[in-house]
Amino acid sequence: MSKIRLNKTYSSFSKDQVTNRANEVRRDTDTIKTPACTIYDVDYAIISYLRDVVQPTVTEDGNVIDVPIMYANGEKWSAVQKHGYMRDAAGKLMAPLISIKRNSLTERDQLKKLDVNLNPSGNAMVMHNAFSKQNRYDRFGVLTNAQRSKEYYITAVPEFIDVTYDLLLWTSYTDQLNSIIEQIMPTGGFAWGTTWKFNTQIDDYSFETMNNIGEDRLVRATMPLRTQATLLLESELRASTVQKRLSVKKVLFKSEYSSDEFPGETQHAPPGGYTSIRTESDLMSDLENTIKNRD
Amino acid sequence: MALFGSARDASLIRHINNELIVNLIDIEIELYKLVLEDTRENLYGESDQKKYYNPIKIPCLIQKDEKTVIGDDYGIDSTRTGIFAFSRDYLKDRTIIFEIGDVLNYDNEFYEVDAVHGSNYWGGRNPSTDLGYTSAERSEFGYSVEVRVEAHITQRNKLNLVEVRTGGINQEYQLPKNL
Repeated sequence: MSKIRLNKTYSSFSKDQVTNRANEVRRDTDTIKTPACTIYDVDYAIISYLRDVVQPTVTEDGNVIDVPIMYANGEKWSAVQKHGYMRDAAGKLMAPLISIKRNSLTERDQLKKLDVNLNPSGNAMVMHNAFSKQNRYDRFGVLTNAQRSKEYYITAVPEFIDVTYDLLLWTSYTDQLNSIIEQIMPTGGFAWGTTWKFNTQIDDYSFETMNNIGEDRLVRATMPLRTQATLLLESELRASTVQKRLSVKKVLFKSEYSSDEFPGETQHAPPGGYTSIRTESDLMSDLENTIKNRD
Repeated sequence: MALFGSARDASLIRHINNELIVNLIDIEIELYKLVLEDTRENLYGESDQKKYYNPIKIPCLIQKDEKTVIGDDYGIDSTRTGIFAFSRDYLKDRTIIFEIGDVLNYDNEFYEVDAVHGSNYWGGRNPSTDLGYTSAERSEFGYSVEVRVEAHITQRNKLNLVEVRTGGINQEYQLPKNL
């Protein structure tokens, strides 16, 4: 009697999970990078675009100076020690300065996902790699007309989000503030970023100029930014969001011949009979005769 | 007629004050006054190319307040206020007038003047405005002792007095420009 197979060893209510070997494809041999687009990447895109592409400058006392751009509310050591170039000899912060602050992050209404507990299988994007090591030139493959093997990379559908920022501008003079706004304004609606790029809109500008007694005069403006971004993490629920799959391999047996008889004729001699086997001496005598006849 | 506080009494105070501030304590500040004719302002009442007269050294008494550190979205900044008290006679003799917006340099810090006070009278009277004295009903009484200036530390890049955008370490004191 065969051994009874137990199929509820982990739970009394559900059957043990059957391993699908199609899911167990090694990833350490391929060079495909698992793409990850995190909130950090979105923040980095905005700041790097301002720093590297817009590069706002102002004129101060006849000199053109770059406007430093920083993320708001960094750690104290960073704000004071690392970014010392933004301070004067007495340690006082100097304008102009651009500070960026993230306000909110919401899932985009138009592209909501049906996130019910787990991503249902099949709710993924399939990408096809044009080259596979298995498709290297092979004479045998040509002879047998073998089909190309395909590598597929399946990624989860990213989260589509709207991120809002406040771009805080601080200058010594209104003239400088105007200049910075004039440099940034044309980029509204562009794809901001140097690596990842995200469509970014600039909303209403607001200005604040204060000249209180006992304080320095403040010339500031706020530019709200609205960025349409995507989030795709390296793993969701401890599983990689990128899965590798290989196309299905088939071995086809098109025809099969089976016979008890050998297909050749073996009982009768060929027409004209069998030729005798000629030896080396026969060949030499034939050659001599041929030479004599020629003479 | 008042018994005390006559001009003769005031003279004693004046001499003691002068000796104390100018000769004994002898703390000096530099006063930078803008050359209004050469400093062109824009539509917003501001100029990033200010011109100054040569600084004047003035002896005074100084009360520096504690530095206040402020942290906001723009980073960590600091500010400080100070009160500078000058002998009124010293200023009057040299025709020095403090105004809001003047710049004072003390202890390698630049202060922007916020307010100027001159109502500290010895004997409670200012001889210049004392009605009894001005109407010649009695002799001179009282003494206007001081001119007191309230100021706060200002961003030195706005002043155009010193170079702030160049590198270098431990720069002790930079010569003023735009004078």
